[in-house]
Amino acid sequence: MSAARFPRLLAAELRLILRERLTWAILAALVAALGLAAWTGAERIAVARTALAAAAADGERAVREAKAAHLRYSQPAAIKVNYWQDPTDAFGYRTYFMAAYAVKPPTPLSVLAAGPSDVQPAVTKIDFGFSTVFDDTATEIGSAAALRLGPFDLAFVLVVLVPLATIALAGTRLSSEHDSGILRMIAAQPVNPRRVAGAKFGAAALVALAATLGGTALALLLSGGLGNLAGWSGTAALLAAALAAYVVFWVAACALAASLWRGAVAALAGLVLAWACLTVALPTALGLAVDALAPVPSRIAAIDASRQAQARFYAGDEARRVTAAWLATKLPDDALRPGLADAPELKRLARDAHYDEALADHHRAARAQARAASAWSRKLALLSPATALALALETASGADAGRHAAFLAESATYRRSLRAFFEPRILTQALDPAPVCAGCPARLDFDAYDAVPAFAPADARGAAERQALLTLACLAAAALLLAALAVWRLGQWPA
Amino acid sequence: MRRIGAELSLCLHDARLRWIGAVLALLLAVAGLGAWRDAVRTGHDVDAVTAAERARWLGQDAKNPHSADHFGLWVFKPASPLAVLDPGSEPYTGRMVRVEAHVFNDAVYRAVQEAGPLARAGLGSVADIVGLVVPLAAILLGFSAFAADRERGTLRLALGNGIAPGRLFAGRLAALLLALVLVVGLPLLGIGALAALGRDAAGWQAWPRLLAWIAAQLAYAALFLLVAMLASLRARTACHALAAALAIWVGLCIAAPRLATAAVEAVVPAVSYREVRARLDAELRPHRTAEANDGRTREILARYGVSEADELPVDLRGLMMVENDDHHFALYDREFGAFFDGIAARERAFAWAGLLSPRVALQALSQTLAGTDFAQHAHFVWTAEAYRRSISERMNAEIRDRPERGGTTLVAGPELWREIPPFAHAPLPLARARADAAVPALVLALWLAGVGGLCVPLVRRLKP
Repeated sequence: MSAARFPRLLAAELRLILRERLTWAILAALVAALGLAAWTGAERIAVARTALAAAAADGERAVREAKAAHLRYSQPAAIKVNYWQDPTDAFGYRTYFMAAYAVKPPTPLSVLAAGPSDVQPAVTKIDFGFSTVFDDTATEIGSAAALRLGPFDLAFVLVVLVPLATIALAGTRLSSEHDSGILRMIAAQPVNPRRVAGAKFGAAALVALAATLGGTALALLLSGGLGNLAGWSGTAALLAAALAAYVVFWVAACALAASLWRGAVAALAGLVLAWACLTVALPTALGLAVDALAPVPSRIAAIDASRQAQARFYAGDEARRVTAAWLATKLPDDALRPGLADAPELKRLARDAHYDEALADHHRAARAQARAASAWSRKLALLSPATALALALETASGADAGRHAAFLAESATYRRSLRAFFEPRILTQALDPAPVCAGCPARLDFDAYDAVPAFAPADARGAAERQALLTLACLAAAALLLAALAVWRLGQWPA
Repeated sequence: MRRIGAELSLCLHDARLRWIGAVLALLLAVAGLGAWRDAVRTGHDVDAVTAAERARWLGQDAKNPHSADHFGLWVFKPASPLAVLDPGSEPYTGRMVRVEAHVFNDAVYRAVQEAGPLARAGLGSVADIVGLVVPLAAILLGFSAFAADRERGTLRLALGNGIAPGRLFAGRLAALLLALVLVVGLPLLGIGALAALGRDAAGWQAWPRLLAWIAAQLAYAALFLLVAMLASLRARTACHALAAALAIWVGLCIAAPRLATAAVEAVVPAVSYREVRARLDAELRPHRTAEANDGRTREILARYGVSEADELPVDLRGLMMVENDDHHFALYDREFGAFFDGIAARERAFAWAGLLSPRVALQALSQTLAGTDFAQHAHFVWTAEAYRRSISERMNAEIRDRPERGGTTLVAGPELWREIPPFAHAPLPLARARADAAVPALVLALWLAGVGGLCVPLVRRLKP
């Protein structure tokens, strides 16, 4: 058979495959799964956006209430106002009024994957003091059963179910003809086995690609979970290409399984086992490797260190000594002013600095571990097509470990910037306590509520594009390698 | 019995069983021994820090009782010994709580937070392996039970010799079940025994839990063996039987569990923790204002019929702290009570969602029997909160009952600190686990009965 007749053979195979009821059942199930996954993704994004909006509203509410209290307590009245009730006290405002949040907003492609976002809150209320033993203190309790089973998201459907659908479509092509004896009839014709296999697996690939890419696009459009793609269309295109390469990889795996000529049972069993290895067993092994390469420092040891620091601070005259030493660095000229080292708010600031110093090594170790785990995961994920695609989808969704580690570090930096904003103001008020007015309950004169720095989330676009490109390259190489192997093995009909 | 023996002998000589057994033993040993090593290490760390925390509490300087209440301490959740087999909800819930004045703190630092991004791939624990790989092993053992004989023509021979189809089926099922007990039950018993003999097993009723847990896993494995045999009874060829059984495995063990998640989330809506915290904050804020404080002060003075705090028989600040805490406790009980009830309702819904997938039913049953379910976590959280309240109540009472007069400040010492007992947490008893396990056990039994029931007519009409 000449190469010119190959398209006719391909068209004939395409007609055959589309005539099978099993094909339509698989495609219907796949499209339904994609639709459901996109819908759950859209719901998830809606919840994330609600949380972000609630955080923003809470921040505005805090400023509004502080301004109202400022106004109320700036009128002469008999009422006694303590520092924790007084927004004119910079320390009181920072500690008991202010609602500052570090947030990790969803990306326009967040609908694609939940990733670890279900155990890593994207909104962190900035707090000072004891609760800052680690950067990731924020927690969001939910149903553990749901977390264990995992969400039905698009990443699950694309990474786990699409290969199964592809295997169901293409897994027994050629090998079932081999089992039934039809292959002998085909082999008796003047046709190259590569052309027959190419037509059969090419038709399966076309159907699988059309269903996967078309179904995903349709599901995304109908769910409404897709954000504004301005600036993200390149990443989306790369992901679509990576997804296509992933489908081709599995079709090539089917062709390779058929080329072993061991029959449909062996082909199907081998493919499902290969799928189980690549999507379940290998990622587990890679996870264990990441744990070994980036061992987790002991949280319990860090908590113990924080408690040792706390116990030290409150033992004997240590609090006064630490506060005086801290004041000497902050106010060299006024540190020895009588009573200053006993001011509760200054003692608290000195205590927080003392804790930070005591826990610095633990903080550094935790951050280094998070960075190392993320870096190793990015490298090792490329060893399995499933983890490579999952990582690309998670990174595009902004739910990857790298972005979360960066977010936690940015939250810690933001906490420090807030401290840097308030500390001079608190010190100034301690040195020169000036009430808003005489006879007013307001004790001091802080009113810079609108000047408090806001958190600026980092852009996740660059990382998403890089990861998508890397994944596309790896998946395309893997698909080509498998296809080349299959083509090589399909050079001859079985004996 | 002779038939079973013959079938078992055939089965034991099958290379498939050796391969499956070796792979399973390796996977279970790696996961189980790794978890056991981590559990022992964490147990030592927790014991050391718990002792250090107690020493710090008792050794703190003389100070105002309220300062001691703020000094607080950390308490740790004791892990169930069977967490080595099934960590259940433990990696997804916090392991330690900071106990301090005023605040119902979260149980923080979930193991899943510090796990690598690839760690949730699916085979992280012994229970995950049983949930996912053991069904595959059962299918690979059972798919050829009748279909391969039918394909070869030997089934016609066997039936022609007068063997009743029911006896043939029962013999093969029993032999394969025994093979499964060998390759699944024994490794689980070995790892479980190692965990149950550990030093932290006291109070957990570990042995009855372990035996019930293994029985549940074997029932689950038997279910998939029945699925494979059902496919084998029905299919014309071994290929079709394997394809059908694998399709069922993918459906029941891979796709359906996540569908169950989506279904439960849609059917049983739960309030988010963030919303609960926001609502609590919104209720506590007006309570903290100077005006509210002033109103409460005046109300107390009026209650005692005095005009100055110094005329009160109790300390005003102490009394206000007692009443403030009572107000907070009621709020926490209401909001967190409803929140935890909501999560418990979701967990119960997952037991019923086991009707969609036996893996979901097994997960609910397994973690309940292992003592690692959410009910155990909630029990720990409330025990820690009760302990926190007992400390606050004692410290507040000390302040209330020793009024500070003329600018003096109350200072307490070790006698008062010693009045606070060490934190003690007893897990929920096995009887509670049995009650909670009833629904998932029933669902798993329904699956077994359903698949077994489907086999009966096929066995009766068994055709060569």
